[in-house]
Amino acid sequence: MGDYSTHPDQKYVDALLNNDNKGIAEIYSLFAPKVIGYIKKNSGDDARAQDIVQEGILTIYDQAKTKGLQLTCPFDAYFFLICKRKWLNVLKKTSPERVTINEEITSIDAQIQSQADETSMFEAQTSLFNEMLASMGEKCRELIKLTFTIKSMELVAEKLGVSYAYARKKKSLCVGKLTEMVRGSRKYQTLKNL
Amino acid sequence: MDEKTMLLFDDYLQGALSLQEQNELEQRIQAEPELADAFTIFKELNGHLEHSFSKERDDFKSQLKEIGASHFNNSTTTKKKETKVIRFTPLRYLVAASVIFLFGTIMWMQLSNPVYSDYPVDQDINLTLRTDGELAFAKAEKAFNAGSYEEAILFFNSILSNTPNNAEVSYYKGIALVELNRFDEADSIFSRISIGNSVYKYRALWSQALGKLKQKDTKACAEILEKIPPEAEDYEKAQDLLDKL
Repeated sequence: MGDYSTHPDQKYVDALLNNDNKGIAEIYSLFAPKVIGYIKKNSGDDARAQDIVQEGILTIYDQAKTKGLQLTCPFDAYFFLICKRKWLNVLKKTSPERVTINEEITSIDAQIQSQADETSMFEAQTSLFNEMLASMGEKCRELIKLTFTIKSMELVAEKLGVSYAYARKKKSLCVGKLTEMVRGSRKYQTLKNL
Repeated sequence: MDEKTMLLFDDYLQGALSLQEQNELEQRIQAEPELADAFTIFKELNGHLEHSFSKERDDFKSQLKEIGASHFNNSTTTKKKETKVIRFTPLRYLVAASVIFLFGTIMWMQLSNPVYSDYPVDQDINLTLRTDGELAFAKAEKAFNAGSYEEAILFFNSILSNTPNNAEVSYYKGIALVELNRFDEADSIFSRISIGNSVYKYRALWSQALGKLKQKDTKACAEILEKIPPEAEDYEKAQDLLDKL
């Protein structure tokens, strides 16, 4: 990606990062209609289309926050492709036999494709992390939730009635355990080799 | 990976290792692919957890929902509401005018003298960013929430010495400074945040305006309030205060 310079549409990603209401509203008014039109034409309704739009925006926000997403292609096509893939995934889950994913490869710019692929990878990783966290033992899961919500280990320790050192050690070990679960999963190995 | 390695990873990310220990771990990571793999996952998991449980993300989600709802409602409402025309007779005008005048006078009397203490400091801060100074964060929070602003500033300074661009911490330091009447220092902090790109840029303007209000400098206060744009969280409060000024 290093060869490409940032696209001026990075301003929309920045609007998300800065919680800029006006910018976010602009994303809705400029880019949502196309997505909604597509979903409604492909066995969806208004409510589901709106959910997909919100999920799409949230994914971009998450990627920008944790991975410093830099947009190298127009927001319009990128956002549409992400939402489209999300919708096709929904359809695949509900009626797998009926969906043929037609990405119109010839008409999609390689740059947009690669940007959307990067986001798909990010989503796959995020959902793997969440899946593993959900399948963890309750004690570790609760401790992780608590420490990452409260942020201050001192307060966590106070709340749990243990020492600061103990709480911190336990948290590290739980995240370590989660690391091993992720590393041992088949999904991770597949993602790694993509 | 054994427990010792995981604790080492965590110490590394928290900045709790000495320079030599850091170098040693980095060299091992370069030499051992398995260790590198585990370290990458450990680091990314920390980033992921930190983000997904953050208040900031929660706030963003609700904001998104709100903007989405208003956008979708607007675009699906095809029929515009009809405007009702109400006929007014001259006598009614007179009554209406006197009612408005009466209300206006009462409102004016109630609201004419806004003071700093009308806008109490949010006593319950919850610092969302955390890097290597967890202890300082907790102590700063505690001190600030207890109203011990001098002490809070000491902890804010210690955090800022590691991460000078932490807008959130700078912002609260500014509020603490206003509480202590150290207006010039607060002013320079708020000005810096307000020209930046953080989510605190407009809140900094609001707090800066309150600082001016505390100094009874209504002109400067109004000038700053006017810079707060409609998309800012404090816009309505700002307009309200502007009216009172």
